[in-house]
Amino acid sequence: MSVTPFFRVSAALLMLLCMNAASFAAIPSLDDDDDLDAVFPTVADPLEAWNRAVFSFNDFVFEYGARPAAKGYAAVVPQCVRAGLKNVFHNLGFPARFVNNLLQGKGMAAGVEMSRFVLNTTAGLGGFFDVAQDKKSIVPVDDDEDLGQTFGVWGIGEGPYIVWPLLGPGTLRDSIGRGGDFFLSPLTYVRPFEVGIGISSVRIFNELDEILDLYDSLKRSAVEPYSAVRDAYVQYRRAKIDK
Amino acid sequence: MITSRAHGFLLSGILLAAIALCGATLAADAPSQARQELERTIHDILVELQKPELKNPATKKNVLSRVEGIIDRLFSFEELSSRTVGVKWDSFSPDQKKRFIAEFTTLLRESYLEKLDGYNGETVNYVGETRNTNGDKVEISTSVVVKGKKVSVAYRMLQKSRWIVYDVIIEGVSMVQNYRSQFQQALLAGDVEKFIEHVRGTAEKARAYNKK
Repeated sequence: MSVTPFFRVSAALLMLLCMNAASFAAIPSLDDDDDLDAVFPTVADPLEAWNRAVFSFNDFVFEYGARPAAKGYAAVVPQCVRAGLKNVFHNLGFPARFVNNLLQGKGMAAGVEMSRFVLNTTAGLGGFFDVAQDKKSIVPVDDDEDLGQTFGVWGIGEGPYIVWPLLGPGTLRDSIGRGGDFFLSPLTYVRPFEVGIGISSVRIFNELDEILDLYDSLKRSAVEPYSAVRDAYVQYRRAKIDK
Repeated sequence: MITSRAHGFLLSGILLAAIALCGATLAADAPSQARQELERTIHDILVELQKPELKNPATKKNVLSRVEGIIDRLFSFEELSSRTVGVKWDSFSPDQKKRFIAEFTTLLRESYLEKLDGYNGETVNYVGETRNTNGDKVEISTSVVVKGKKVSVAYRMLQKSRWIVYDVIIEGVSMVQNYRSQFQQALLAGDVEKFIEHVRGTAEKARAYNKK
């Protein structure tokens, strides 16, 4: 991917989103949740027909492609290795979390991320062991920060809801954020490309069963799975931005 | 003269502090009762889940049905149902309401209760609570560590003849709001009977899946 066109398009879209900026509450407060008429939260879904088609496609891939793959992977790779790899990939996410904490004015949290990174990379043997886990941090740290959240903190609107093939649900804002976070991932700069892609695939395999579990419980408990996932995604993201 | 004024200040200070403290304890009374109810319920559920019977497929059912009984004491499925259906609830006949509550409860049981057999000694931490202006509702925040990841779970409770839970918010996602957004779609599309049938069908599917 060439860097400049991506940033140019993103900047233009973000400016558009800024114009329709609106900050939504995650869910109604205790005082306001008796209003039976209200459906919170609402997100614009002008692409609904297309989104539903992609949703069905993803569902098919999950059931018949990802699930057998995840089962096979879990059968071959022992749990302790899976947990270790997960820590390694989390550790590699440090630059993105660090930068986004700073961009959101969470200097202390950025500092905590930095010290965890140093500790885990050294004493935790390249991040395989999460030795910093039991250390109490001086501020509460959300260990999942991304550019989409940063934009949200800045008051940039969500834009329309988009379901991406294989990547799943997002909003326009969060999708641009994902693109930006891509450039903050060390894996993006691994050469040759094939090796980088290989490492990224290991990551996907490694976290597949967790994602499938979550998707499964949402789907089984849903009366209308498409709306359930859309609503859960938007509520979850808004709650994260509030944090 | 100065000393007596200082005494006066001191005395009024103590009085003010005392009044403030009394006020604080009074204000804290109602929610702490809700929290006690919640804590007792969660404690009783965890005691059941720690029993080795849970890991045995033959006796698992007994444990889960006892857990269900404990949940029933605190959760109001009627309140949950009326809130998820929303404004349309008033247009349901008493019989439709009854059937809907039964089907929706089955769906929730099949979706969530069956997951509890994966219980692995997780403990619940109480993080805090907030109260509404009227003082008849509280939100109690807790956190649970599941597979090394901290998950936030908040319970919204309402004071009726006793404190009842009417919404559960997991990682910021409200169950009531989530179902309401799904039901709106389904209710707009068809009549109430069709809607109840749809919920019944979903519950049936979840049950069949769990039996597999």
